[in-house]
Amino acid sequence: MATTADALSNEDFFYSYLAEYLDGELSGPAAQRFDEILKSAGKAAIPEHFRAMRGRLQLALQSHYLKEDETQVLRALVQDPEVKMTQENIRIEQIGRGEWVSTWLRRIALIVVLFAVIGGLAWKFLPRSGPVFKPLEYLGYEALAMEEDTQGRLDLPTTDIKEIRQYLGNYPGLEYKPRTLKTVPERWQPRGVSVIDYDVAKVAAVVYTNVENKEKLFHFSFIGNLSDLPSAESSTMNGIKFQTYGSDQFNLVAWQHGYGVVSLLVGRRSTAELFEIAAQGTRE
Amino acid sequence: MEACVSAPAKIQQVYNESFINFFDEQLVGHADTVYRMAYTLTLSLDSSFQLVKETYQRIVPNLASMQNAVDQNSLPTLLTTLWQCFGQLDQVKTPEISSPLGKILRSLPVDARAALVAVDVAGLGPAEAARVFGWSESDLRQKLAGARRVLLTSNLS
Repeated sequence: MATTADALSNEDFFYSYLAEYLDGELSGPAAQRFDEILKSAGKAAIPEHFRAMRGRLQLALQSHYLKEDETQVLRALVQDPEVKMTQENIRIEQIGRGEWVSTWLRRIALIVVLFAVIGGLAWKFLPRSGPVFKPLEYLGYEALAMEEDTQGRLDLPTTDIKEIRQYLGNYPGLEYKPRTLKTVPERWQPRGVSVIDYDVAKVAAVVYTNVENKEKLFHFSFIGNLSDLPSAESSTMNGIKFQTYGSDQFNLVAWQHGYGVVSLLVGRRSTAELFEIAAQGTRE
Repeated sequence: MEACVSAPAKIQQVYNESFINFFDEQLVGHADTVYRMAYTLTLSLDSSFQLVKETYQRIVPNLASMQNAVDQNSLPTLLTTLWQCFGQLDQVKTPEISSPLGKILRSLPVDARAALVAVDVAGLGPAEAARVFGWSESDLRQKLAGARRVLLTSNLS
């Protein structure tokens, strides 16, 4: 810079270094020389005047600029406008397709979340329908199984009805008081007792054996109401309603054996005989 | 000084996206500044765009080397090319000028107004501007000083 500055007259030096002076970029001998010239008559106001006029020059030239079509002519030097337009259209189409996909993904995600929330709420608040206890079906099958393997399926094989009542009375976890028949015809002898756990219901089962022909009679009792069972032919004795059912293997008699407990007597005897046994065993 | 070529009818080479982006951002981005310098030189709006267009046509074949010079500011290269193209122009017919700006510029020799606009409008440093025009820095400063003296006594508002 020193060489350049030295080659200039004071006037040329002063005017050509005005911008550096205003920007504070002058130092050393150049700054000293500029200050000396600045102090000379009529120069003090020039730097600020230059700043203003330079601004006006820049402003005046800003009104000269390329129009859009002229700029496009320059761009067209490296890219065919038709190709560019095609590429832009493809890009717009891709963006549009992407938008469409993302919009639907968002909607689907929202629907999934909505269903999940509804499902969660339903799972939490709606009563759940668990496995249904079907006494006639289950206990008919149970009677058949116990008839084939009585010994193996009895928790307590005994002929003492007191032991059976005691066993049921002390059985842990039963939410009801299992019923037993108070009396049965003499030819029917207690054979033992079991509590069958179906998860949804616990059923007390007392097995009787006919001493004459070893025929079996099953007395089940469980939580429920007679009205829960399918309607069937019925008879009433001593104010108690007995409903009778039949199948290929067994006949069944059901009755309300106290509050909230249903009894079911199952055997190969006629419904009339089963009804008599049930009525006799339930009599007060 | 190479002669400026006339405009090709079609693009002679297919440029990749990187070239196109570089051209658009680094070169077309300076187009207004180049145009102002072209006007400063020709003082004709009609000739200005033609000069700018020829400048860019001449730049395009050198795009690869310009793109590789990562740190290089493209503006000095553009102005150098513009200056070379201006030197190859036939006599430009200057229309009647009525604007204060046009009158100031017309009152200056072309070298002086080129130096003024390169430094005080385009923002080049004096040393850089000197390289653009192929002068020594002291030559540029002499021309710049003369142009500024005229500017300071003008009635540009």
